[in-house]
Amino acid sequence: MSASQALPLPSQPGNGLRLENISKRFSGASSDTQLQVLDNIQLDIAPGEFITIVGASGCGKSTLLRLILGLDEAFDGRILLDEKPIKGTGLERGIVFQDHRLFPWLTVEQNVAVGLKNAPLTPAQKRETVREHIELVGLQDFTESYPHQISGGMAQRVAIARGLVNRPSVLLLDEPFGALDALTRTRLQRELQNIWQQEKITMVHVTHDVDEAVYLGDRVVVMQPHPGRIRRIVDIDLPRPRNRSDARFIALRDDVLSDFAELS
Amino acid sequence: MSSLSVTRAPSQHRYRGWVLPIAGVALWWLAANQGWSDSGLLVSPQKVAVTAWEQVTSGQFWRAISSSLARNLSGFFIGTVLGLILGCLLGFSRIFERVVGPSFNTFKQISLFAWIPLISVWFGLGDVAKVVFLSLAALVPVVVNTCDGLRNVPNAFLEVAKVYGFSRWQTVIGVMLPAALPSIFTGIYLALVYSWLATIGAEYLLVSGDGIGNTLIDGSEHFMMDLVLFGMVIIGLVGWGLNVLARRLERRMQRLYGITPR
Repeated sequence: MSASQALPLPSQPGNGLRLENISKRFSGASSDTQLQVLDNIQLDIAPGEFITIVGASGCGKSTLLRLILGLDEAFDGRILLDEKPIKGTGLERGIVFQDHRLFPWLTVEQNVAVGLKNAPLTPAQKRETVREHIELVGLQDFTESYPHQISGGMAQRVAIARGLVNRPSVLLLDEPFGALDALTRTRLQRELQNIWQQEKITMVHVTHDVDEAVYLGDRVVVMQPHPGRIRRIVDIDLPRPRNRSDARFIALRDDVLSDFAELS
Repeated sequence: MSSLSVTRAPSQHRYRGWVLPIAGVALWWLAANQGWSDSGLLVSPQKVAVTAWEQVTSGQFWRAISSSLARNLSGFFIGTVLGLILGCLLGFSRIFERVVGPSFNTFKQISLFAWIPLISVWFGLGDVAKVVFLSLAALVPVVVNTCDGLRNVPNAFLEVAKVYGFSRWQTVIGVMLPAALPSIFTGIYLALVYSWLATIGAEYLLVSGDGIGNTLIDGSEHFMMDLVLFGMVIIGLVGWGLNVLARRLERRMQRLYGITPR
Protein backbone atom coordinates (compact mmCIF):
# COMPACT_ATOMS: atom_id res chain seq x y z
CA MET A 1 0.00 0.00 0.00
CA SER A 2 1.09 3.51 -0.59
CA ALA A 3 2.06 5.52 2.45
CA SER A 4 0.82 8.64 0.75
CA GLN A 5 -2.88 7.84 1.04
CA ALA A 6 -3.40 8.53 4.74
CA LEU A 7 -0.87 11.32 5.02
CA PRO A 8 -2.03 14.75 6.05
CA LEU A 9 0.87 16.57 4.36
CA PRO A 10 0.83 15.74 0.65
CA SER A 11 3.76 17.31 -1.16
CA GLN A 12 2.62 20.02 -3.53
CA PRO A 13 3.88 19.49 -7.05
CA GLY A 14 5.20 22.89 -7.99
CA ASN A 15 7.85 24.16 -10.29
CA GLY A 16 10.60 21.99 -8.91
CA LEU A 17 14.08 22.95 -7.88
CA ARG A 18 16.09 25.51 -9.78
CA LEU A 19 19.80 26.19 -9.34
CA GLU A 20 20.86 29.51 -10.85
CA ASN A 21 24.56 30.36 -11.34
CA ILE A 22 25.72 28.68 -8.17
CA SER A 23 29.34 29.43 -7.29
CA LYS A 24 31.10 28.67 -4.06
CA ARG A 25 34.58 29.53 -2.84
CA PHE A 26 36.37 28.32 0.26
CA SER A 27 39.12 30.58 1.55
CA GLY A 28 42.45 28.82 1.92
CA ALA A 29 45.10 29.01 4.61
CA SER A 30 46.15 32.53 3.67
CA SER A 31 43.61 35.19 2.82
CA ASP A 32 44.65 35.51 -0.85
CA THR A 33 44.36 31.80 -1.70
CA GLN A 34 40.80 30.89 -2.50
CA LEU A 35 39.59 27.50 -3.60
CA GLN A 36 36.83 27.58 -6.17
CA VAL A 37 34.65 24.59 -5.25
CA LEU A 38 31.66 25.26 -7.48
CA ASP A 39 31.67 27.29 -10.66
CA ASN A 40 28.45 28.54 -12.16
CA ILE A 41 26.18 25.54 -11.68
CA GLN A 42 22.91 25.74 -13.63
CA LEU A 43 20.33 23.04 -13.21
CA ASP A 44 16.55 22.76 -13.45
CA ILE A 45 15.01 19.79 -11.70
CA ALA A 46 11.39 18.94 -12.48
CA PRO A 47 8.97 17.97 -9.69
CA GLY A 48 9.09 14.23 -9.12
CA GLU A 49 12.29 13.83 -11.10
CA PHE A 50 15.10 11.53 -9.97
CA ILE A 51 18.38 13.34 -10.56
CA THR A 52 21.69 11.67 -9.87
CA ILE A 53 24.88 13.68 -9.61
CA VAL A 54 28.05 11.72 -10.23
CA GLY A 55 31.62 12.88 -10.03
CA ALA A 56 35.07 12.14 -8.66
CA SER A 57 35.86 13.23 -5.14
CA GLY A 58 36.58 16.94 -4.95
CA CYS A 59 34.14 17.93 -7.69
CA GLY A 60 31.91 19.71 -5.15
CA LYS A 61 28.89 17.44 -5.46
CA SER A 62 28.43 17.07 -1.70
CA THR A 63 29.01 20.80 -1.22
CA LEU A 64 26.25 21.47 -3.75
CA LEU A 65 23.90 19.24 -1.75
CA ARG A 66 24.73 21.11 1.48
CA LEU A 67 23.87 24.38 -0.26
CA ILE A 68 20.48 23.01 -1.38
CA LEU A 69 19.90 21.67 2.12
CA GLY A 70 20.57 25.12 3.56
CA LEU A 71 23.38 24.14 5.93
CA ASP A 72 25.77 26.47 4.12
CA GLU A 73 24.37 29.83 3.08
CA ALA A 74 27.57 31.52 1.88
CA PHE A 75 27.49 31.16 -1.90
CA ASP A 76 26.80 33.15 -5.05
CA GLY A 77 23.70 32.53 -7.14
CA ARG A 78 20.18 31.50 -6.26
CA ILE A 79 18.46 28.28 -5.28
CA LEU A 80 14.72 28.33 -5.93
CA LEU A 81 12.24 25.75 -4.72
CA ASP A 82 8.78 26.21 -6.24
CA GLU A 83 9.98 29.61 -7.43
CA LYS A 84 10.84 30.79 -3.92
CA PRO A 85 14.48 31.26 -2.86
CA ILE A 86 15.41 28.86 -0.08
CA LYS A 87 16.40 30.29 3.26
CA GLY A 88 18.27 28.09 5.74
CA THR A 89 17.12 24.56 6.35
CA GLY A 90 13.48 23.62 5.93
CA LEU A 91 11.23 20.63 6.40
CA GLU A 92 10.36 20.68 2.68
CA ARG A 93 13.93 19.53 1.97
CA GLY A 94 14.82 16.14 3.45
CA ILE A 95 18.30 14.63 3.62
CA VAL A 96 19.90 11.20 3.91
CA PHE A 97 23.56 11.49 4.88
CA GLN A 98 26.26 8.97 4.02
CA ASP A 99 26.83 8.17 7.68
CA HIS A 100 23.26 7.48 8.77
CA ARG A 101 23.49 10.03 11.64
CA LEU A 102 20.86 8.30 13.74
CA PHE A 103 20.92 9.28 17.41
CA PRO A 104 22.38 6.29 19.27
CA TRP A 105 20.25 6.97 22.38
CA LEU A 106 16.95 6.70 20.49
CA THR A 107 15.15 3.64 19.13
CA VAL A 108 14.39 3.21 15.42
CA GLU A 109 10.89 4.56 15.98
CA GLN A 110 12.10 7.57 18.00
CA ASN A 111 14.78 8.31 15.41
CA VAL A 112 12.21 8.47 12.62
CA ALA A 113 10.04 10.67 14.86
CA VAL A 114 12.95 13.17 15.11
CA GLY A 115 11.97 14.22 11.57
CA LEU A 116 8.49 15.17 12.77
CA LYS A 117 9.57 17.00 15.93
CA ASN A 118 8.46 20.38 14.58
CA ALA A 119 5.87 19.22 12.05
CA PRO A 120 2.37 20.69 12.45
CA LEU A 121 0.73 17.37 13.35
CA THR A 122 -1.06 16.00 16.40
CA PRO A 123 0.81 13.35 18.42
CA ALA A 124 -1.53 10.66 17.06
CA GLN A 125 -0.88 11.76 13.48
CA LYS A 126 2.85 11.74 14.17
CA ARG A 127 2.72 8.19 15.53
CA GLU A 128 0.75 7.03 12.51
CA THR A 129 3.08 8.75 10.03
CA VAL A 130 6.15 7.30 11.74
CA ARG A 131 4.61 3.82 11.65
CA GLU A 132 3.81 4.13 7.94
CA HIS A 133 7.33 5.18 7.07
CA ILE A 134 8.91 2.41 9.11
CA GLU A 135 6.71 0.01 7.16
CA LEU A 136 7.73 1.70 3.93
CA VAL A 137 11.35 0.75 4.57
CA GLY A 138 10.35 -2.69 5.89
CA LEU A 139 11.55 -2.31 9.49
CA GLN A 140 8.29 -2.84 11.37
CA ASP A 141 9.92 -5.65 13.40
CA PHE A 142 12.70 -3.37 14.62
CA THR A 143 10.84 -0.30 15.90
CA GLU A 144 12.19 -0.77 19.45
CA SER A 145 15.79 -1.55 18.41
CA TYR A 146 18.66 0.85 18.96
CA PRO A 147 20.94 1.83 16.05
CA HIS A 148 23.85 -0.29 17.33
CA GLN A 149 21.59 -3.36 17.34
CA ILE A 150 20.82 -3.21 13.60
CA SER A 151 23.02 -3.57 10.51
CA GLY A 152 24.44 -0.69 8.49
CA GLY A 153 21.94 -1.31 5.71
CA MET A 154 19.04 -1.24 8.15
CA ALA A 155 20.36 1.94 9.76
CA GLN A 156 20.46 3.59 6.33
CA ARG A 157 16.83 2.51 5.78
CA VAL A 158 15.89 4.19 9.04
CA ALA A 159 17.69 7.32 7.82
CA ILE A 160 15.67 7.18 4.58
CA ALA A 161 12.45 6.84 6.59
CA ARG A 162 13.49 9.84 8.72
CA GLY A 163 14.26 11.81 5.55
CA LEU A 164 10.86 11.01 4.04
CA VAL A 165 8.67 11.26 7.12
CA ASN A 166 7.95 14.97 6.62
CA ARG A 167 6.82 14.32 3.07
CA PRO A 168 9.43 16.78 1.77
CA SER A 169 9.06 18.00 -1.80
CA VAL A 170 12.76 17.20 -2.36
CA LEU A 171 14.79 14.40 -0.82
CA LEU A 172 18.54 14.95 -0.97
CA LEU A 173 20.76 11.87 -0.73
CA ASP A 174 24.48 12.32 -0.08
CA GLU A 175 26.18 9.06 -1.11
CA PRO A 176 23.71 7.18 1.08
CA PHE A 177 24.97 3.73 0.11
CA GLY A 178 28.68 4.59 -0.07
CA ALA A 179 29.59 2.80 3.16
CA LEU A 180 27.57 -0.38 2.52
CA ASP A 181 28.70 -3.71 1.09
CA ALA A 182 27.91 -4.45 -2.58
CA LEU A 183 24.97 -6.79 -1.95
CA THR A 184 23.24 -4.48 0.51
CA ARG A 185 23.91 -1.54 -1.77
CA THR A 186 22.22 -3.23 -4.75
CA ARG A 187 19.21 -4.18 -2.63
CA LEU A 188 18.81 -0.67 -1.23
CA GLN A 189 19.12 0.89 -4.70
CA ARG A 190 16.18 -1.24 -5.80
CA GLU A 191 14.21 -0.33 -2.67
CA LEU A 192 14.94 3.37 -3.09
CA GLN A 193 13.66 3.20 -6.66
CA ASN A 194 10.46 1.50 -5.46
CA ILE A 195 9.97 4.13 -2.77
CA TRP A 196 10.46 6.91 -5.29
CA GLN A 197 7.93 5.36 -7.71
CA GLN A 198 5.48 5.05 -4.83
CA GLU A 199 5.98 8.48 -3.27
CA LYS A 200 6.80 10.59 -6.34
CA ILE A 201 9.13 12.85 -4.39
CA THR A 202 11.85 14.76 -6.23
CA MET A 203 15.17 13.04 -5.51
CA VAL A 204 18.64 14.55 -5.80
CA HIS A 205 21.07 11.71 -5.28
CA VAL A 206 24.82 12.31 -5.11
CA THR A 207 27.13 9.36 -5.71
CA HIS A 208 30.58 8.48 -7.01
CA ASP A 209 29.27 5.19 -8.39
CA VAL A 210 28.47 5.54 -12.12
CA ASP A 211 26.52 2.29 -12.18
CA GLU A 212 24.31 3.53 -9.32
CA ALA A 213 23.81 6.90 -11.01
CA VAL A 214 22.65 5.32 -14.29
CA TYR A 215 20.51 2.73 -12.49
CA LEU A 216 18.59 5.31 -10.45
CA GLY A 217 18.52 8.57 -12.39
CA ASP A 218 16.09 10.01 -14.90
CA ARG A 219 19.04 12.21 -15.72
CA VAL A 220 22.66 11.82 -14.69
CA VAL A 221 24.55 15.04 -14.01
CA VAL A 222 28.26 14.42 -14.57
CA MET A 223 30.46 16.82 -12.64
CA GLN A 224 34.17 17.44 -12.94
CA PRO A 225 36.57 19.05 -10.47
CA HIS A 226 38.93 22.06 -10.31
CA PRO A 227 36.69 23.95 -10.20
CA GLY A 228 33.56 21.88 -9.62
CA ARG A 229 31.26 22.28 -12.60
CA ILE A 230 28.75 20.36 -14.68
CA ARG A 231 30.46 18.50 -17.52
CA ARG A 232 27.27 17.27 -19.13
CA ILE A 233 23.83 15.92 -18.38
CA VAL A 234 22.87 12.47 -19.69
CA ASP A 235 19.22 11.47 -20.17
CA ILE A 236 18.56 7.91 -19.04
CA ASP A 237 15.53 7.00 -21.08
CA LEU A 238 15.12 3.43 -19.87
CA PRO A 239 11.97 1.80 -18.47
CA ARG A 240 11.87 0.90 -14.78
CA PRO A 241 12.68 -1.30 -13.02
CA ARG A 242 15.96 -1.23 -14.84
CA ASN A 243 17.99 -4.23 -15.80
CA ARG A 244 21.73 -3.94 -15.40
CA SER A 245 22.44 -6.52 -18.09
CA ASP A 246 20.29 -4.74 -20.68
CA ALA A 247 22.46 -3.68 -23.65
CA ARG A 248 21.13 -0.11 -23.55
CA PHE A 249 21.88 0.17 -19.82
CA ILE A 250 25.44 -1.03 -20.42
CA ALA A 251 25.88 1.37 -23.33
CA LEU A 252 24.73 4.36 -21.25
CA ARG A 253 26.87 3.36 -18.30
CA ASP A 254 29.95 2.97 -20.52
CA ASP A 255 29.18 6.32 -22.08
CA VAL A 256 29.19 8.02 -18.67
CA LEU A 257 32.23 6.06 -17.56
CA SER A 258 34.14 7.30 -20.61
CA ASP A 259 33.94 10.83 -19.13
CA PHE A 260 35.99 9.65 -16.20
CA ALA A 261 38.47 7.77 -18.37
CA GLU A 262 39.29 11.06 -20.12
CA LEU A 263 39.64 12.91 -16.87
CA SER A 264 42.10 10.57 -15.24
CA MET B 1 22.56 -10.57 23.07
CA SER B 2 26.05 -11.29 21.81
CA SER B 3 27.35 -8.08 23.37
CA LEU B 4 26.42 -9.45 26.80
CA SER B 5 28.21 -12.77 26.51
CA VAL B 6 31.62 -12.81 28.11
CA THR B 7 34.31 -15.35 27.44
CA ARG B 8 34.62 -17.11 30.76
CA ALA B 9 38.06 -18.11 31.85
CA PRO B 10 38.39 -21.71 33.05
CA SER B 11 37.65 -21.80 36.77
CA GLN B 12 41.23 -22.54 37.77
CA HIS B 13 42.36 -19.27 36.19
CA ARG B 14 39.80 -17.30 38.12
CA TYR B 15 41.45 -18.07 41.44
CA ARG B 16 44.96 -17.09 40.40
CA GLY B 17 44.40 -13.55 41.64
CA TRP B 18 44.00 -14.95 45.17
CA VAL B 19 47.40 -16.66 45.27
CA LEU B 20 49.42 -13.59 46.23
CA PRO B 21 47.12 -12.25 49.02
CA ILE B 22 46.75 -15.72 50.57
CA ALA B 23 50.49 -16.32 50.46
CA GLY B 24 51.00 -12.87 52.02
CA VAL B 25 48.61 -13.56 54.89
CA ALA B 26 50.19 -17.00 55.42
CA LEU B 27 53.66 -15.45 55.61
CA TRP B 28 52.37 -12.77 57.98
CA TRP B 29 50.74 -15.42 60.16
CA LEU B 30 53.99 -17.40 60.26
CA ALA B 31 56.07 -14.32 61.06
CA ALA B 32 53.75 -13.26 63.88
CA ASN B 33 53.28 -16.69 65.43
CA GLN B 34 56.80 -18.10 65.09
CA GLY B 35 58.32 -15.16 66.93
CA TRP B 36 60.44 -13.98 63.97
CA SER B 37 60.31 -10.51 65.43
CA ASP B 38 59.76 -9.38 68.96
CA SER B 39 58.52 -5.95 67.96
CA GLY B 40 55.16 -5.09 69.43
CA LEU B 41 54.26 -3.48 66.12
CA LEU B 42 54.03 -6.87 64.40
CA VAL B 43 50.54 -8.01 65.30
CA SER B 44 49.16 -11.36 64.26
CA PRO B 45 46.24 -11.84 61.85
CA GLN B 46 44.22 -13.33 64.74
CA LYS B 47 44.72 -10.13 66.73
CA VAL B 48 43.40 -8.06 63.82
CA ALA B 49 40.38 -10.36 63.55
CA VAL B 50 39.68 -10.05 67.29
CA THR B 51 39.97 -6.24 67.12
CA ALA B 52 37.64 -6.21 64.11
CA TRP B 53 35.10 -8.24 66.09
CA GLU B 54 35.40 -5.87 69.09
CA GLN B 55 34.99 -2.82 66.85
CA VAL B 56 31.90 -4.24 65.22
CA THR B 57 30.21 -5.52 68.40
CA SER B 58 31.01 -2.43 70.50
CA GLY B 59 29.38 -0.19 67.89
CA GLN B 60 32.52 1.89 67.38
CA PHE B 61 32.90 0.59 63.85
CA TRP B 62 29.32 1.48 62.89
CA ARG B 63 29.70 4.97 64.31
CA ALA B 64 32.92 5.48 62.33
CA ILE B 65 31.71 4.04 59.04
CA SER B 66 28.35 5.81 59.13
CA SER B 67 30.01 9.19 59.82
CA SER B 68 32.49 8.59 57.02
CA LEU B 69 29.90 7.48 54.51
CA ALA B 70 27.51 10.28 55.47
CA ARG B 71 30.09 12.97 54.84
CA ASN B 72 31.37 11.14 51.77
CA LEU B 73 27.91 11.08 50.23
CA SER B 74 26.99 14.65 51.19
CA GLY B 75 30.28 15.93 49.75
CA PHE B 76 29.82 13.82 46.64
CA PHE B 77 26.25 15.03 46.22
CA ILE B 78 27.00 18.75 46.72
CA GLY B 79 30.12 18.59 44.54
CA THR B 80 28.32 16.72 41.76
CA VAL B 81 25.33 19.07 41.67
CA LEU B 82 27.53 22.18 41.67
CA GLY B 83 29.82 20.48 39.13
CA LEU B 84 26.92 19.75 36.80
CA ILE B 85 25.72 23.35 36.98
CA LEU B 86 29.19 24.80 36.41
CA GLY B 87 30.00 22.22 33.71
CA CYS B 88 26.77 22.99 31.83
CA LEU B 89 27.39 26.74 32.03
CA LEU B 90 30.93 26.26 30.70
CA GLY B 91 29.73 23.83 28.04
CA PHE B 92 26.75 25.81 26.77
CA SER B 93 27.76 29.44 27.10
CA ARG B 94 30.69 30.79 25.10
CA ILE B 95 30.71 33.99 27.13
CA PHE B 96 30.71 32.14 30.44
CA GLU B 97 33.48 29.88 29.12
CA ARG B 98 35.60 32.90 28.16
CA VAL B 99 35.10 34.64 31.48
CA VAL B 100 35.23 31.70 33.89
CA GLY B 101 37.13 29.05 31.91
CA PRO B 102 40.68 30.34 32.44
CA SER B 103 40.10 30.83 36.18
CA PHE B 104 38.67 27.34 36.53
CA ASN B 105 41.57 25.82 34.59
CA THR B 106 44.03 27.52 36.94
CA PHE B 107 41.96 26.55 39.97
CA LYS B 108 41.96 22.85 39.06
CA GLN B 109 45.77 22.82 38.84
CA ILE B 110 46.00 23.53 42.57
CA SER B 111 46.44 20.26 44.42
CA LEU B 112 43.35 19.48 46.42
CA PHE B 113 45.32 19.11 49.64
CA ALA B 114 46.72 22.62 49.27
CA TRP B 115 43.22 23.83 50.12
CA ILE B 116 43.32 22.24 53.58
CA PRO B 117 44.97 25.18 55.40
CA LEU B 118 42.49 27.69 53.94
CA ILE B 119 39.52 25.44 54.55
CA SER B 120 40.52 24.84 58.18
CA VAL B 121 40.91 28.57 58.77
CA TRP B 122 37.52 29.37 57.23
CA PHE B 123 35.48 26.38 58.32
CA GLY B 124 37.36 24.88 61.27
CA LEU B 125 38.02 21.19 61.64
CA GLY B 126 34.44 19.91 61.87
CA ASP B 127 32.04 18.35 59.43
CA VAL B 128 31.46 21.56 57.47
CA ALA B 129 35.15 21.83 56.61
CA LYS B 130 35.32 18.17 55.61
CA VAL B 131 32.24 18.38 53.40
CA VAL B 132 33.61 21.52 51.72
CA PHE B 133 36.84 19.66 51.00
CA LEU B 134 34.96 16.63 49.66
CA SER B 135 32.73 18.77 47.48
CA LEU B 136 35.82 20.30 45.91
CA ALA B 137 37.21 16.82 45.22
CA ALA B 138 33.97 15.74 43.55
CA LEU B 139 33.39 19.03 41.74
CA VAL B 140 36.48 19.10 39.52
CA PRO B 141 36.03 15.84 37.55
CA VAL B 142 32.31 16.52 37.08
CA VAL B 143 32.93 20.02 35.68
CA VAL B 144 35.73 18.87 33.37
CA ASN B 145 33.85 15.90 31.92
CA THR B 146 30.48 17.66 31.64
CA CYS B 147 32.04 20.60 29.82
CA ASP B 148 34.10 18.31 27.55
CA GLY B 149 31.07 16.17 26.74
CA LEU B 150 28.98 19.18 25.75
CA ARG B 151 31.79 20.76 23.72
CA ASN B 152 32.48 17.55 21.82
CA VAL B 153 28.95 16.78 20.63
CA PRO B 154 29.54 15.63 17.02
CA ASN B 155 28.73 18.34 14.50
CA ALA B 156 26.96 15.62 12.45
CA PHE B 157 24.28 15.43 15.18
CA LEU B 158 23.93 19.20 15.43
CA GLU B 159 23.38 19.37 11.67
CA VAL B 160 20.56 16.82 11.96
CA ALA B 161 18.95 19.04 14.61
CA LYS B 162 19.31 22.04 12.29
CA VAL B 163 17.79 20.16 9.34
CA TYR B 164 14.69 19.34 11.38
CA GLY B 165 14.33 22.88 12.65
CA PHE B 166 15.14 22.17 16.31
CA SER B 167 15.04 25.27 18.49
CA ARG B 168 18.04 26.04 20.71
CA TRP B 169 16.21 24.47 23.65
CA GLN B 170 15.20 21.35 21.69
CA THR B 171 18.81 20.96 20.57
CA VAL B 172 20.08 21.22 24.15
CA ILE B 173 17.56 18.75 25.61
CA GLY B 174 17.18 16.44 22.63
CA VAL B 175 20.72 16.29 21.25
CA MET B 176 23.49 17.91 23.31
CA LEU B 177 22.65 16.52 26.75
CA PRO B 178 22.02 12.93 25.58
CA ALA B 179 25.13 13.01 23.38
CA ALA B 180 27.20 14.25 26.34
CA LEU B 181 25.67 11.84 28.85
CA PRO B 182 28.39 9.14 28.69
CA SER B 183 31.05 11.77 29.34
CA ILE B 184 29.00 13.39 32.12
CA PHE B 185 28.63 9.99 33.69
CA THR B 186 32.38 9.37 33.57
CA GLY B 187 32.76 12.60 35.56
CA ILE B 188 30.26 11.44 38.19
CA TYR B 189 31.98 8.07 38.38
CA LEU B 190 35.33 9.76 39.02
CA ALA B 191 33.69 12.05 41.59
CA LEU B 192 32.48 9.02 43.54
CA VAL B 193 35.97 7.49 43.55
CA TYR B 194 37.78 10.76 44.36
CA SER B 195 35.36 11.73 47.11
CA TRP B 196 36.04 8.51 49.01
CA LEU B 197 39.80 9.06 48.74
CA ALA B 198 39.24 12.63 49.90
CA THR B 199 37.04 11.48 52.79
CA ILE B 200 39.96 9.63 54.35
CA GLY B 201 42.27 12.53 53.54
CA ALA B 202 39.89 15.00 55.19
CA GLU B 203 39.48 12.89 58.31
CA TYR B 204 43.23 12.47 58.55
CA LEU B 205 44.10 16.13 58.07
CA LEU B 206 41.11 17.82 59.70
CA VAL B 207 41.15 15.74 62.84
CA SER B 208 37.94 15.89 64.85
CA GLY B 209 34.86 13.74 65.25
CA ASP B 210 34.23 10.18 64.16
CA GLY B 211 35.23 8.42 61.01
CA ILE B 212 37.26 5.61 59.57
CA GLY B 213 40.18 8.01 59.10
CA ASN B 214 39.99 8.79 62.83
CA THR B 215 40.08 5.06 63.58
CA LEU B 216 43.40 4.97 61.74
CA ILE B 217 44.74 7.94 63.69
CA ASP B 218 43.67 6.40 67.01
CA GLY B 219 45.40 3.18 66.07
CA SER B 220 48.63 4.84 65.05
CA GLU B 221 48.73 7.18 68.08
CA HIS B 222 48.30 4.28 70.48
CA PHE B 223 50.59 1.96 68.49
CA MET B 224 47.64 -0.36 67.95
CA MET B 225 48.61 -1.80 64.59
CA ASP B 226 45.65 -4.19 64.68
CA LEU B 227 43.30 -1.20 64.64
CA VAL B 228 45.28 0.48 61.83
CA LEU B 229 45.16 -2.67 59.71
CA PHE B 230 41.46 -3.12 60.37
CA GLY B 231 40.82 0.48 59.25
CA MET B 232 42.84 -0.03 56.08
CA VAL B 233 40.90 -3.14 55.16
CA ILE B 234 37.60 -1.29 55.63
CA ILE B 235 38.76 1.70 53.53
CA GLY B 236 39.79 -0.69 50.77
CA LEU B 237 36.51 -2.57 50.89
CA VAL B 238 34.35 0.57 50.78
CA GLY B 239 36.44 1.99 47.92
CA TRP B 240 36.07 -1.26 46.06
CA GLY B 241 32.30 -1.32 46.68
CA LEU B 242 31.83 2.25 45.41
CA ASN B 243 33.94 1.45 42.38
CA VAL B 244 31.90 -1.64 41.52
CA LEU B 245 28.66 0.30 41.95
CA ALA B 246 29.80 3.18 39.74
CA ARG B 247 31.27 0.88 37.10
CA ARG B 248 28.06 -1.12 36.91
CA LEU B 249 26.02 2.04 36.33
CA GLU B 250 28.56 3.23 33.75
CA ARG B 251 28.37 -0.11 31.88
CA ARG B 252 24.60 0.10 31.76
CA MET B 253 24.85 3.59 30.32
CA GLN B 254 27.40 2.49 27.74
CA ARG B 255 25.32 -0.49 26.70
CA LEU B 256 22.38 1.80 26.12
CA TYR B 257 24.61 3.91 23.88
CA GLY B 258 26.08 0.92 22.06
CA ILE B 259 29.57 1.58 23.36
CA THR B 260 31.42 -1.69 23.90
CA PRO B 261 32.59 -1.85 27.51
CA ARG B 262 36.34 -1.74 27.87
